[in-house]
Parts: sequence; structure tokens; C-alpha cells
Amino acid sequence: MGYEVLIRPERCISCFACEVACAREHDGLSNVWVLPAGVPMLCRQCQNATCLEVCYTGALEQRDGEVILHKDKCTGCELCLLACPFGAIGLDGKRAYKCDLCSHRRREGLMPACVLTCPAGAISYSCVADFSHRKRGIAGLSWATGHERRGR
Amino acid sequence: MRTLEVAREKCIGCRACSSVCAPLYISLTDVGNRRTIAFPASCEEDCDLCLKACPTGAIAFGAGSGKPLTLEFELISCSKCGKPFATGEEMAFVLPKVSKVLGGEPDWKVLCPECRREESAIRLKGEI
Repeated sequence: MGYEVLIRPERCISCFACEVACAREHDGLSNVWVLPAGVPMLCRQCQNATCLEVCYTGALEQRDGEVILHKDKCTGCELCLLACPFGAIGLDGKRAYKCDLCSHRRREGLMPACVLTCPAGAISYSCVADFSHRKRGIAGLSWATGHERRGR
Repeated sequence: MRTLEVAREKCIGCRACSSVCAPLYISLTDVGNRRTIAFPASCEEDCDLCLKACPTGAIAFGAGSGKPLTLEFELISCSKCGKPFATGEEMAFVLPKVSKVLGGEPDWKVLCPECRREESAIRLKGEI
């Protein structure tokens, strides 16, 4: 099963460390946004991606469960921004930008920068099965002890 | 001389041609809720980027002497923050494709990208 960046908003402390880390990795432009609600938002790598449907140059491509943006093919038409349900694509002057799951870091066997940086464990890089297994464990423990737990 | 022929009825007012035009002959300006795209009469560059970039094929090259063209579009305002974010033609181009994938018109179509981000964050926070 593929690895994904998964969010646990209940752990987010709105410290913006993920934004800073992301900006550092992507030439000063963060692909993750911490919102006033206290949720880090980034591209969900949708399976039924609406952005892919409107991209007419092939700049957006789906491969191995990821939505990849090829900047060299991007015309900066802004249609994908208007098609994204989550507002997770940005426009940097003349080209679109979005979370690439730190492809350059993963090539070297490193985790995405936001995941590594988050001090609260609100962003994790794991497969869905492991993620839900851990959440079930925490929920079980909370129920058994009668205390709310927010374990990592 | 090579002239630029733009089909007004095909143009949806997106940013593609103005973004790819390296010498900035095609300009796009958003002022308030109006978007203005100005095309030059002719272009002497050895380049067809705008022609290739246009999503609707509204741009063609012709011969003879043309005249500069300025197209005006009205921008739709976000229903939450009120910021103008897209032309009506752009949304008319995007929505059928989006609806096809999602199986119906999305309720977020009236929101700008920033407000969509915020709304989905609030929704996510409410689910836990």
C-alpha cells in the first residue's frame, strides 16, 4: 500500500513550522497552508482528481497514487485552481504550484519536510492501514482509561 | 506581417496566453471585478506559444494588417470573502468537467480557492 501524507488536525498547534519547512524546500514558496481553524491543508493527491480533468496540456499527471505537476508543461491558465475542491493549488505568477510530497527528498530516502518538521505529530507520512490502526489504538485506550488521549 | 487573430466568442479569459508570452505582448490586468486582456495587432517573434497554450483554440495567426484587440471580462466574486476570482466563462469551462468527475455540481463552485481551503479546513476540524 502506498504511503501518503495524512493529517491529524486535532494535534495541530498552528505553529506554522510546516509552512516554513515547505517554503525552505520549495524555493521560498510553501505548498502547505496552516488555516485559522488549526488545520494544515495540502494537496490530497485525489484519486478522482478534478484538476487532472481540466488540465489540457498534460502538465498534471497521475502516477502511483500521486498527482504530479510538470511545471515545464504548465501554461499558468489557472483552470486547475478553479477546479480544486480544497484550494490546494496555488499560482506563482505564471505557473501553478502544489504539494509534490517532496519528491526530491523521497528520492534520497528522506521524509517530506513538513512531516519531519511538525513538532506535534499533526502531519504523518504513512499508509492508510497503519494510520487507522494507530488511531484505533488511541481510541481504544481513551475508552478504557476514560481519559482523552492524543498519543502519537 | 503576421497578425494575431483572436476569436472573442471562444476566449474564456484565462491566464494561459498572457502567462506564456515571454516578451509580454499579451497583457492581463485585473482591476476590481473586471479582467482586461490586451492583444497586440501583430507579433514578429518566431514563436507560437500562445497559440499552443490556448485551452479553447481561440488564437490563430493571420496575414495582413490587424488591429490591437482588448477583451473585457467580468469576474465572479467569492460568495464568502467577496474577492473577484474567475471569469464566468472560465467557470463555465471548468464546471462541466468537474461535475463529470464528482457526479454533480459541487457546492464550492461559488468560493474562491482561498475560501475553499478555509471551508475544507473547518469541515475537517468539525469531523473529529
